[in-house]
Amino acid sequence: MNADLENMLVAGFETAFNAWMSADPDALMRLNPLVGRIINMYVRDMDLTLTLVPTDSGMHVLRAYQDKPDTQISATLATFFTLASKPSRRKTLLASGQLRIRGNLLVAARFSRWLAGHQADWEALLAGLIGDIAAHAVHGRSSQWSEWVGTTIKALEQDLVEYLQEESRQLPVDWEVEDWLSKVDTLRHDADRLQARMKRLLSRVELS
Amino acid sequence: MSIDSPDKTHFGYQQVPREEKVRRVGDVFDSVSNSYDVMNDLMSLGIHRLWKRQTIELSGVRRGHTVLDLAGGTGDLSARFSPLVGDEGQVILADINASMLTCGRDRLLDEGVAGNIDYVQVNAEKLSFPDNTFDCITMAFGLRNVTDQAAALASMYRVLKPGGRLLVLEFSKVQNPLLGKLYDIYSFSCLPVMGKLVAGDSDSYRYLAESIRMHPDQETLKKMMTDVGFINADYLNFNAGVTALHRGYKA
Repeated sequence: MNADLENMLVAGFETAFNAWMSADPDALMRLNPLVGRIINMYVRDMDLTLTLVPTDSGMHVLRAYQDKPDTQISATLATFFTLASKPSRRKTLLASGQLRIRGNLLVAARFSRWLAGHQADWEALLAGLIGDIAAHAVHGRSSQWSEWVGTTIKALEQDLVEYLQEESRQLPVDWEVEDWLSKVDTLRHDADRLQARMKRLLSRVELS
Repeated sequence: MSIDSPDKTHFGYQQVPREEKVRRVGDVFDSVSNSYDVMNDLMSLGIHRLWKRQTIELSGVRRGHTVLDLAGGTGDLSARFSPLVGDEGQVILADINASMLTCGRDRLLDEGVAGNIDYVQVNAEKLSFPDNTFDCITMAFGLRNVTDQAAALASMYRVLKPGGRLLVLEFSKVQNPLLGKLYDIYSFSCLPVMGKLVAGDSDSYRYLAESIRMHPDQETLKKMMTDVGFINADYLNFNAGVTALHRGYKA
């Protein structure tokens, strides 16, 4: 990528990141334990390295840092998004190797907790732009809307699962899968036992 | 390009006694210090922030380093160096102009940038620091206002540690002739008007345009750096040469 363009993108990312941070009034205070640390993020699929420098007034983002960072977090872009939106999946991502951490694990854990603890007060942010009353109305409407969207998606998901499992019978229901897996386990154990018995019999034949 | 005699030097397009340039440059910055950041954003459409980011990226500054931000003005670079050098390092924001230095100090303190920053009023031609003090020296948009630029470069070389690097970010010669014409029209027609409207001072911004034209071009500045001893001197043009970042190392 062109260096000027990359520089511009990183500057844009820094601005967006700090705007996102400012939506949570406690974000800066919670960032305090990380001030003075250098966090390196390597986006594997884009071969892009970003260096995050937490400060008292926000997050500085650099492309290059010519020394060892305190911690390096390496993942694909999609995994970073998953980590930011569902921090509870951190252990699964680590175990599967999709997320790799090198260096000071405590710093990485603190950073992860900081990300997970982000609670945006969009109403307060909006109030600064359009006033308290309008912001309350807009926020109330948008909350209702997002709640409705969430409920609708969940209902659609349940309906689809029910149709595929119960009506069209294209997918097995949970107990059928468990029953089948249990039978597979029994068969595997039987086969193992048979193999062991055969081995014992063959060794007796050879001895005699 | 500057053509100076032993007694006289340029102040924009005028030839003035050397002492007078110091005083008049001081007057310019006393006049614009309060609106300096706004004018920078306005004049460059915010692009100066990208140039400064690039300077930070290429500085190689890391934890524990000692950095001199010369002609640091309102502290754009120092604010970014401070978290990079950490508690073990030190940043010195230096400027010859007391008004600019006060603006920079107040701004950084307001932003909570403190602890590893010191403020020094200093003449770049006669830096009052011991030899081999700094890992990195930066000078952004300051060199063209210095009366004796060779003396300033030599002074910077003296206070750099061996292996330390100097980065000079400065307006330079536009490489594209068509863009150069447009840039001239912008500099001499728009800048003074903007200066009048925002800072209430058109003369200072006319001086800015003239001083850019009188500043050494990329190759000349590179040669000036090698003449005082810098090794591996090179430069990087930004926006077709509107600005250039010169970099050199002390052997």
